[in-house]
Amino acid sequence: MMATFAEPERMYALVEVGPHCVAFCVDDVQIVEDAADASTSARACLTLHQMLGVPGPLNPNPRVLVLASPSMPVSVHVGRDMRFVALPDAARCPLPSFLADWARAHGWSALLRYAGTFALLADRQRLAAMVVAADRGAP
Amino acid sequence: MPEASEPARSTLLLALRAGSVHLALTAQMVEEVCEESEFVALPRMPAHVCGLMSVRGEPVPVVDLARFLEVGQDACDPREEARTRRVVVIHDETYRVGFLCQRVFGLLRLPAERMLRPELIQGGRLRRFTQAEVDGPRGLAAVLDVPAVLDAARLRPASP
Repeated sequence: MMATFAEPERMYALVEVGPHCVAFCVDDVQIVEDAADASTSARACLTLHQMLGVPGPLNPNPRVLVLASPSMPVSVHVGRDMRFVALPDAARCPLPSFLADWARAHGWSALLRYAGTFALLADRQRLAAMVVAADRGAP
Repeated sequence: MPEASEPARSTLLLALRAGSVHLALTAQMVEEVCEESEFVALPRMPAHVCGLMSVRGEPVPVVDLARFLEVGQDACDPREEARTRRVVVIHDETYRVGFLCQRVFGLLRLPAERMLRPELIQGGRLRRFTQAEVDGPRGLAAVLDVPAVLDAARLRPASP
């Protein structure tokens, strides 16, 4: 009798901001905490709204997602509506070549098929570098 | 030696309308024509990129041809236009992209001598991306230089 194995899955934190859905691989996330409890003073910090260019205030008491970065941990303020989902590796699809260079430069590494749509998968290192640069006021 | 019955050299085109102008695409580059479905918005996109469309589960970036070519919208009934809008999926060696257009008329086979050097086509950025013009059944149409459109429309790291 042949043994069957389930397709390997990864956990992702999914955040919806305006019309966009952003995914973070949980392996890249150090801590998720409420903004009220977060001690972000020692870390570079940015809201996901700013990064996506979406106007509008954050929900009251948003969550803070601390990314494990090689140089220093950075914080990304996200909305309250964060979900954790397990998706098979087949859900990950490469960026179409038409926009791949652009997307990588903006901190996205791939797309995730999820619930009939696509989420942008964050590139931890690139995103961390962007957060640090923005926090220092770099253009 | 060519056979006496060999047909004259001809070109197969897909005729369509984007905004207020009639266009034609070399049919060899056309993969399929889809009904417009919901686009997945991408952050910080230039106005000519509608977003991603799922074509059998694969993400395809969609370019609004009328916006990109700056040819303006036709003054037709918006409900009628919503009914006829289509996404033409095209591919070349590097890219697979959807072109959003207001109407697809169908295939058109024209003898090579009907493909004329562009002289009459004007308007917006259209002239720059016209490789030939044809006098088709619906009047003058611009045959798009698709690789040039793709190269100019694609998103580069410095895009806004």
